[in-house]
Amino acid sequence: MQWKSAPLVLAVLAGLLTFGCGGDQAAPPDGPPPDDTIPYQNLSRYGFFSDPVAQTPAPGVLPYEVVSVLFADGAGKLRFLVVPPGGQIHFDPSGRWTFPDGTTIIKTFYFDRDLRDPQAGWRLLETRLLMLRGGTWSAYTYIWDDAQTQATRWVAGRTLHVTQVGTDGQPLTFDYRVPSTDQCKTCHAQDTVAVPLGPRTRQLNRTHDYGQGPVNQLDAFAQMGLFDSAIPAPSTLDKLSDPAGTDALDRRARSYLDANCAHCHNAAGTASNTGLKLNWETTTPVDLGVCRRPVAAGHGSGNLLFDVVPGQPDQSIVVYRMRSTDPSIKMPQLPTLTSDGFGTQLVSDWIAALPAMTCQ
Amino acid sequence: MRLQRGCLNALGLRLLALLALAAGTLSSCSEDEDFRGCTTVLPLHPDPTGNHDTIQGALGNAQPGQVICFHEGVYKLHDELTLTTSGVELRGSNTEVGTVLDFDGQQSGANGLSVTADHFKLTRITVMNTAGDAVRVDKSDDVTFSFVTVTWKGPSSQNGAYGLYPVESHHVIIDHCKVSFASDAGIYVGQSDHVIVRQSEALHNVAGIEIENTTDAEVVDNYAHDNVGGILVFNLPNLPVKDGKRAKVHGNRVLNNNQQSFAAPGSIVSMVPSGTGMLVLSTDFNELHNNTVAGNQSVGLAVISYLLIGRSDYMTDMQYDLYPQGNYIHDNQFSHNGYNPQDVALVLAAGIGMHTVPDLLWDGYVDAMRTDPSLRNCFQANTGSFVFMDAQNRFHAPSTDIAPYTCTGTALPAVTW
Repeated sequence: MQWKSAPLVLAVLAGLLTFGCGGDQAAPPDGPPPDDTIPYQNLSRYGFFSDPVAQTPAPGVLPYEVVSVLFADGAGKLRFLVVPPGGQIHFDPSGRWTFPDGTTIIKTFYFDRDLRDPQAGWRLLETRLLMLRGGTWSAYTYIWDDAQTQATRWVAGRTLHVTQVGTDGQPLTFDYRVPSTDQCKTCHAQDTVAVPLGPRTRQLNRTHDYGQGPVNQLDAFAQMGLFDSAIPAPSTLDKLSDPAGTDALDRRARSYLDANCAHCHNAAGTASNTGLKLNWETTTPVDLGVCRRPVAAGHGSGNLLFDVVPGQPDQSIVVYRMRSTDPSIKMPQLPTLTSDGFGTQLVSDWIAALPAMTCQ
Repeated sequence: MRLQRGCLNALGLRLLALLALAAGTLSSCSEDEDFRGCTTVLPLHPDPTGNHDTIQGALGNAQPGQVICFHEGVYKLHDELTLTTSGVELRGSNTEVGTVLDFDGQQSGANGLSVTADHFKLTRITVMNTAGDAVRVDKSDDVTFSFVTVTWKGPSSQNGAYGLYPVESHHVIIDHCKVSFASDAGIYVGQSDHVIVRQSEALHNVAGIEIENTTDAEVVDNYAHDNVGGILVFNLPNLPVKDGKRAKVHGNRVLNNNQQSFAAPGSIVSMVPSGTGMLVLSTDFNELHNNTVAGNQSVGLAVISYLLIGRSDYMTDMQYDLYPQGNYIHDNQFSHNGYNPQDVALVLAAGIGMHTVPDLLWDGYVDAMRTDPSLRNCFQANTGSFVFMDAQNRFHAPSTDIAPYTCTGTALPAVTW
């Protein structure tokens, strides 16, 4: 046990130094506080990953993918679900699933180091957790250090400077914004209560390879006993379209809007006051923005009069705001810093293809 | 500032201050700043990132019941602040210098401060130069703004739309606040209920104070001046919270709201002509009384229907009530309004053969299907001139005779809860 004493001494010294310098949190006299209460300060403390840097999930940590991805300034994302042993998810074919207490949903954001070479690895940016404890979902954010050795909890949000080798071999440098923990709720709150957004039937109704070839994720979850009842055949269930896929334009655009806008723009979301509802279920044209006058857009309207003018994307506020990077104009408001060219084009194409009509 | 410099000159106090600052607790000049009741006092950093880390860190770790206090001085910020914990007060310095949150150069977030939290108090803080709305409070219950100032550098359509912006909220008090240069409404209460706006000042905004799709609001003893429009009570179609009503607007001074408009074209306030004192649009059972309304060049008070403004989007909202009904407008002092009507006010005046607009205007739209006497708009004991425009009959028989519309309406009690 002798080998342990040196780090211990160092730890105590570090604690004293912190105390002597008057750091924001005075350390207790017996050393730095043990990282033993949730939320942990260090991501690795949870044991979600057998290799955190490689993002290799530990047993019981289930990777999954969504059909329609939320644009995150081009960052790649890895998603995992941890259902506590014995816990089961109450399946809902169209609404939100009900998860057992103790569930954690994990999302890690990264950029490839070299766009020419996938083998060059990634730079991990942040790992976000949504943890359901005592009936309440709480969000915790962990930011990866530059050395990529550990991810530490951070509450306030931070701008990270990212460098990447572009397809032309030249370095690309840009900023990436980690939202504050409170900002998580701006998107995740439905009627002011935080809920998971991605893991639901229409988003998970797709294939994933759990090691034995591609299988439908819902079938895989069911076979693992994760649902509290038998589920219908996935082919009969609701499913979004891949916005970059080959389905009909209307389905692809509506799938994009559902994943990228509807967390706020639905009857219970943060933008409920606008009356603009871009969720998958919406069918009423004015709710989808057709000839809808904005109510609280201010100069976000770009001097345009209607959210969506069928046939005229350039006259539609929705497109104007998707193109913008001005924080007071851009949509979504959080947390991206850039405009999603692909998504903006898709929504433009969708509006252009709507039967033209005159808004008044 | 004066006392701070004094403190810093004293070596002993300076050392104490450094130690205190280093310990992250109270800083130098607590003899001037009163932090009684504060659970946290946030140090002032020279850089926006430092301030954001400190403030957002405190908001993110806040517990119900906490009072988070600020020093005097300017906290520069480049990113939105967000609070989602209920029962928290943010309190600025009590000194004459006060606390300023300056978002000049804001890089992320559509608001300065975004709040979704019940039992929230914002006290004695100035919020400046936000990219978008200054303080938005969403879906919250029991919200108090007191002695809060919001401003931008000057009139610009690029300023944030709203200064103080409670929306879909309940039990809101805005007391002794001051908002200027908002590109839409300085004090904007939207889709809320039980709201008191009192002893506040709105100037150089497009709309000074706007109560929209809101029920049971009391707007009392405010000073709205030099806006495009002073006090607006609106109901708009196609919104989730409908049928706002019963605003009690009284004791306000609504003077010289002749600012040239800098609203974004297309917004509802862009239709408000420069020089509008008060406007009641398609909303019912409001009581506007004992206000002083003077020097507004287009009109003192207009009671109008959404039909007058030439939009047809109400057709997609079957529940929308187009007609302002049961409003009781009495004992207001009007003088020298409508002397130089602008934009749509000029057009309307010309339409009824007038060069100027009377103090008090009712467009005359009524719901022919509903003739209950309680739905009459009553005008009583106001000083100043009047016009009934007969818009419903294509302005066929406008009249300046107020006698047919003089009646005693329904007075509203003060808003309490």
